[in-house]
Amino acid sequence: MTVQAQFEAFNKKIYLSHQDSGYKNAAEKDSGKNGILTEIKTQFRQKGYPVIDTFLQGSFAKEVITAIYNKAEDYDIDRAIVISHSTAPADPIAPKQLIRDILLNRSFKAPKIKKPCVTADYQSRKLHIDYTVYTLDDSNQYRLAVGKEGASIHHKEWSISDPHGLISWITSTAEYGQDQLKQRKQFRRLVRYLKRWRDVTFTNEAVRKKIFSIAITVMVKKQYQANLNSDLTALINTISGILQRERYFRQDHNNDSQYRVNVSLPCHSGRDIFNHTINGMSYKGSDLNTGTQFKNQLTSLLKNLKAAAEQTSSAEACKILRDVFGTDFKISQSGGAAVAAGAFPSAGAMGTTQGANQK
Amino acid sequence: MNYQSILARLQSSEHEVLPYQLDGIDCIKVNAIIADKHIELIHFLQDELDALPHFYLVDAEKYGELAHVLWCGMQKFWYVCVNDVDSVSVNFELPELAFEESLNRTIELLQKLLSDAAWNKQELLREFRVNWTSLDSPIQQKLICASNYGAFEMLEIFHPIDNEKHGYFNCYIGIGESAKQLNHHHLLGRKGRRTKAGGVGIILSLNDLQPAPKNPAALKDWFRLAMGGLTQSMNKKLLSSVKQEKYYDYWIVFTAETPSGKTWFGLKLHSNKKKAKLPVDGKNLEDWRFEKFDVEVLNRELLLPRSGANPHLSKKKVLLAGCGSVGSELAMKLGSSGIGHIDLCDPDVLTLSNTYRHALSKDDIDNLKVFALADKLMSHFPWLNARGFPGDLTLLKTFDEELWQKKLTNLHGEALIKSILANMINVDKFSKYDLIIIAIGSPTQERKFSKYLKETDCKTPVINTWLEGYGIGGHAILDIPDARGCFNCAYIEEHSGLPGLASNLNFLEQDQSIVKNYAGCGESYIPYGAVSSTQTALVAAELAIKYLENKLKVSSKMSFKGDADEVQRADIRLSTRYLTFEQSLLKTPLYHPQCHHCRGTPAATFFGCGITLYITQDVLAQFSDFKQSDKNASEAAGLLIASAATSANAFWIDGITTPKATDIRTRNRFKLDDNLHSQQVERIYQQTKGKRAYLGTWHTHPQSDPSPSKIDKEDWQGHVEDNPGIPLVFVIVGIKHIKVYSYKSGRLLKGMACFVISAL
Repeated sequence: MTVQAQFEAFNKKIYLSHQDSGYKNAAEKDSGKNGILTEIKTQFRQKGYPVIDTFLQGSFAKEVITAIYNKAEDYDIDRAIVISHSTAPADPIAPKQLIRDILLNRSFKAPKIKKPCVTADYQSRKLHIDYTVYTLDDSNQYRLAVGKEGASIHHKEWSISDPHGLISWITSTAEYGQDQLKQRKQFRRLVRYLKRWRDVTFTNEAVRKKIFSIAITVMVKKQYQANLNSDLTALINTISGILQRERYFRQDHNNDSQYRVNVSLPCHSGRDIFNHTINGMSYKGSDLNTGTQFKNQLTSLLKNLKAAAEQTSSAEACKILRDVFGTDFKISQSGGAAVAAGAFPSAGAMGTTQGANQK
Repeated sequence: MNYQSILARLQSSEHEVLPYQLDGIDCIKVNAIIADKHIELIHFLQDELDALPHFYLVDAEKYGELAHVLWCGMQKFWYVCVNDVDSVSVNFELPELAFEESLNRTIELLQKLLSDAAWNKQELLREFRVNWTSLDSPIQQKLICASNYGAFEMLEIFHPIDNEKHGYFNCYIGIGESAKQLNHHHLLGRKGRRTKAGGVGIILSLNDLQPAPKNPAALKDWFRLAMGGLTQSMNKKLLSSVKQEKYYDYWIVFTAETPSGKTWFGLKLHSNKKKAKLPVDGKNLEDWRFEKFDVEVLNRELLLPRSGANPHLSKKKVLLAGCGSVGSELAMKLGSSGIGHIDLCDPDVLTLSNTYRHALSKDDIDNLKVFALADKLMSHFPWLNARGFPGDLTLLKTFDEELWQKKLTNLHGEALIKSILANMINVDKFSKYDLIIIAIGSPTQERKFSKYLKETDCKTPVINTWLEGYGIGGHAILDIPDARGCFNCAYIEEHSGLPGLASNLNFLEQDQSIVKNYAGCGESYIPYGAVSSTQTALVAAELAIKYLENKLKVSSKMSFKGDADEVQRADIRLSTRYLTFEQSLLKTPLYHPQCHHCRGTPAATFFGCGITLYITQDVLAQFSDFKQSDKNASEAAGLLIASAATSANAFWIDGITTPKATDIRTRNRFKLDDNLHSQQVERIYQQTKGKRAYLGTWHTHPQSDPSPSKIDKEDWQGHVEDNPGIPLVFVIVGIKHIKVYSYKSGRLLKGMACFVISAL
């Protein structure tokens, strides 16, 4: 029994790139001909600190983005704006205000300057954007513009930062050894599967939103157990690792059946992704509800995956997997990006004897 | 283009395919590990597919010099050529498949290049010229190099013509000693050019070619290696040629053998200081500036095959009579085949009424067609020698070339022709031609000329070509003396079996009024379009070229069959041949079984039973083919087709039907598929209006001296009863002997003379 073909079809089905039409529309707002980015570049140049680089952060950069499952969700654009440290204004809030004002003029609702970024939702489209501003000095050191509007001098600074660090940690292949690219591909597939599982499983938006994609990505990266013949086996072994190692899930002192989830970022300061704030106070780990639900559902997922692996018929296994991952997981092998037959030629290109063109 | 589905599809690749951005530009990035090396490919998103999508190799220099990987003007990205062999038809309807194909091809190619160094080197040499040409150069320079050999030779270098912006006139030219006498100087505008002062050209052939550098800075090193690798004799020739002279510029045209044939390429050395000797020793190269230049070669052996002509035809001489709509197009096609010499003969001048169906343009109106066409041929085909002789076929019979050349300058028009006519007939004059082509569209003249050639025993093959009006078609016949089939075969009347006045190839029935009288006698014309005349010319050209290439050894005919709608509108009758013709544009034997020339003397004659039977060479040869001398050969059988000979009760067996797939055949038995065999005979009977008809049967026996079996006799009896009054004959082909039997008053008569077939 093998369900690898179905997993690969499933991967194609949930695979999403910035070429998806929804994202293209979002990206048009961001980096299109008259997009926000163009205006940021113009205004920054006028202010004397021209943009020297810009790149996407977030899921795009990590290549683990999955297709939107629930139509109600937003498309995220997470963009870094880099200026030279030598031309940067002393006040890190100034460029963020500039961005905020640009967004205000472009039908974004309530753009806000947050501590690390400027964030806004587009009014008529499901588009959420985050812009972060960095400086880069001659020794290739990035600094993040930190601080909210009106913050005191102690709470705003150009803070040493490593925006590429997380991405390169996630995309590094150093630990994979042989077949490194194949392993990295499988790692990315596993992240996609789990993100889709999350979107299908946690129907309560409040909880779902707190099970951060970056946390799933970091956990899978750290616990990844390769099995290039079987995504199912790799997934089972990886999830077992997540549940058993590293103490991601920690029991509450007061209640054995309640958990908090803690995942540290690999670089930076080792900040915990699930840090949450209550009454202005920051606490390590998630809230108990999120942690408990996450752990219980992940345990149940592992059980279901093992059950699927024990099936002798692939159809039976697929039925279980379909319950877990939703209807994009197809029971028949054809699915995903299978090509419509009949109307069009079925080869990609063919050498012919037609014409004398030798090119 | 839907890149979302393309990217999804490419997830199946065993390599890593990612959407990516470079400086804000969307692209696809592919990571792959090939031959233990990490390879990065980039595809820049495009709106639609015109060709296979490109996957550029990032930082190709890292992997050394790779064949099929080309610098394309982008900083990091190198073009990987994955469709160099074929014309590729790309599936733009399902671009994801095209992407998959292109990526697979790219990876496969890189795999081979990176893991097989020998193959890479061979490919680098094979594509040497392209790599050389794509070297960056501050100025794009091109040299047209005229040389007959491509071996060591000094070149005289000429400047481009002043104020010329385009084409060859805007290039430098280098003319080798070997090419000085050629007639293509006007092609290059030789007369309008100044020689390059202080510059000289040299053709050097290299024995040991090093791959082309991909960086212009490496040209110096490449040159040093090339000089070091010269053969001793080449080195000696070079030194003796350049030791005295000093120049500013050396235009070196290198030639070398590569896996894809001989390649020509250029390297210019310019002295930074004063005039100097060529640094043959490879020393003090810093005093020189090195620039590659492009070479276009005017060299017969190179240019003819490259532009589709056959250099082996360069010694062939063709005489073409008739330079009208068919003849003029035919002349151009003959020229393009690579034929070296064409003489043209036609008495006419070009008039306005020729405008839309003649190879000549209105600029030549009022000129003799032969002169204008000879000029056009020579300017079109650099190595073609063409001459014009203004006169008709009569001229051909009589002209004396030397005399003609002498008088040409003094005489014109009628006086000239008269003068020629007055000269004695010289039969030998045709023997210097490899082929004579008649495209005059006049059956009378053609028949007369053919008769004349036959009488004078001319051994030069002749093609006659003509078209029929109304777009119905056109024909060409090739008569090779001493091969089977002749001009006369194309004029045998099907209904009489006798020579006729119109060709039996025609698609329109003879003796109808088909010309349109336009303004009185002499101003009538047949309507047809240039497509018809050109197609006819192509048919004749095909026969001519195939014959000259020695690929056609029997006299042949070829027709193109056009549509009949115009003919029907004009109420003109079609010939039986048109209605049954299915061999358009195919070459078929010209031989006609009733042609008295080709049928010649009978191969075998049988007397007896009051009948004389002549068997043609053709039929006897077929009998011989079917005789059961091989142990496993099955019996063969068929019907006899005959026509009446001149004396009474004498017949020519001039055709047979041969075994069909639906016949039943064993070693000792045979059962005809009656329908197929009799249909075939019936068709001939209809076409010839009864002149050729059924006269009996033939079959083989596995005996050396055959005799009829009981079954044979019963079978024959049946035939005789079914055809009362016809003197049927029955042939048995044994291994050594043929026997013929006949009947009289319903009784089998034995023993017509037998014939030893093995004597053939």
